[in-house]
Amino acid sequence: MTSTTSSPGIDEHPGLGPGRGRLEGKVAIITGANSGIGRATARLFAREGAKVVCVDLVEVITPRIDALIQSDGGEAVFFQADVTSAESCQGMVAQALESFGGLDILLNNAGTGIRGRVDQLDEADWKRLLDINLSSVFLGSKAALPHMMAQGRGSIINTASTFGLLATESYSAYCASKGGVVLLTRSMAIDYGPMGIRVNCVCPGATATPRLLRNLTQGKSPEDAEASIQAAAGINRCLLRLARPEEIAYGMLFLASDEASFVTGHALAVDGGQTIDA
Amino acid sequence: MTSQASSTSTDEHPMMGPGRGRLEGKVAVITGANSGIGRAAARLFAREGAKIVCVDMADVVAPRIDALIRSEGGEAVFFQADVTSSESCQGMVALALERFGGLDILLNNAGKTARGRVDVLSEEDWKGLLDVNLTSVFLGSKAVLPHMMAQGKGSIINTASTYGILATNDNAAYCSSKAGVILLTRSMAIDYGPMGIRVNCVCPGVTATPLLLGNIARRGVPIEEIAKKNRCLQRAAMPEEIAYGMLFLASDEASFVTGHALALDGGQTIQA
Repeated sequence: MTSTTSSPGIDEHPGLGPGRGRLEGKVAIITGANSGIGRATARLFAREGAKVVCVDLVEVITPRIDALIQSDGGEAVFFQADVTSAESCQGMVAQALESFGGLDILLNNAGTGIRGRVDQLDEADWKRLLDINLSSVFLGSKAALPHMMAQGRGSIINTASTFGLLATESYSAYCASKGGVVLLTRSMAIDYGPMGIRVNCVCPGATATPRLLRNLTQGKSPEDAEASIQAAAGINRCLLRLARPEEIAYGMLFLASDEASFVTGHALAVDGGQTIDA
Repeated sequence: MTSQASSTSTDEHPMMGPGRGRLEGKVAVITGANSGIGRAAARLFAREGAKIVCVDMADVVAPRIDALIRSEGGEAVFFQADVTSSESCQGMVALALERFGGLDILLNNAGKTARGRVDVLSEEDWKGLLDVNLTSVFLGSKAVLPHMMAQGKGSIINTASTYGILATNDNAAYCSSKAGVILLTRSMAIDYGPMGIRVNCVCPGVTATPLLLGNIARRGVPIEEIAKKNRCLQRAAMPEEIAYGMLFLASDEASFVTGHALALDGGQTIQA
């Protein structure tokens, strides 16, 4: 959620291909849609033909995602909201139904990070992080489910993390919240599968989002910043680099589309092999 | 590998959509390509623009997969081979290079079942199953890797199973072989990732293939009974649904996915 401005003339998502109509006729809600992974995904889903309700707390990144989508020829509306509020979540669903006449896909993607061991984290910060990363998935899904249950179909995708599968140091609240997202995904897959609703999550590895790059480089000399990025990339011994947000977006697209009609409850690792390494 | 002729009036892959050019310019080798999941994957990959070497031991299913692909405008050759032989595996790679001038994707998909508990299974059946399901992945990969290492890219996909993640009764050799496929996948992902080669596997749940339908018919089990194992979607998969997962892993869209075991199982493996 930085106030970066994309450089004019340089496409910020060089890894996105042309749309191929894979979400033609679908309506999607994407939270955390104005930056990072959510932004790349909103743009990709729109290219693939979906109409997108772009939800974010902040709109400081320009162009705002709905304008970026419209400039590609897609359809999108922006809905400024805090996903920790049940009213906001109901509002985004109402917006989808009102603006686009339906709702097929919900991507619960908004999230944040906070570093610290348990002895260092205060209770308020712990609860705040669980609210943003985990309760937001509960609330977003709770708002979308009545509509999806009534129509007998729907695809919910949640953004978990490799740190929801394996732990890392001084990141206890984040790991706990993302572990919760993986198992909430599976619980909902079991509860709503018989009603035709698929629920999956994506576990991105270290991804070159504005938030991660800022965390890695803030207050450091250019050399130290580069070393810090290289160290983050080296977590992954297979591909030895960070992911681009577009690469995560393609995993989201697979799960969102009808091509994944037999996939539910799955935690799709888009992590360059980070979680398979002993 | 049943000798089932597809009906001429209805399309055998009703859930397969039109091609969208997602594998344009690629060459793929697919083993076990003449029936079931491999057959659907070969057809889908060809629709998406890939040229396919279709490898199978048997060519009794009609139309043969290469003819089916050509009938819809795609490019394919058939290579009759036993994937437990390293010479055959080298042969399929040589054919891809000779006929299509390259090789980008290897789908190690050939496999079989041998039901039975350990006390019931003969050592010969155990070893035979490991050969077909696990050593074939080793040999197929070994044949293709020099080429992929030289070009600094490639995507290998192996067909594992939900029974490589969780066990079931009377299927000891199959479960062991498929678990081996998952960890061989991960080992190769680690070893070849730095060289630009991605290695993943899919774990299909119960899928309505001729192999499965034949087996359960012989055992007198209705498919609904098997499908109930999956409390989420409560049905068997169609081979096309597995093929779409393979397509994702094969394509450049999965450029940051390696070592993954993609469950295409309707939720079978997530339940306590």
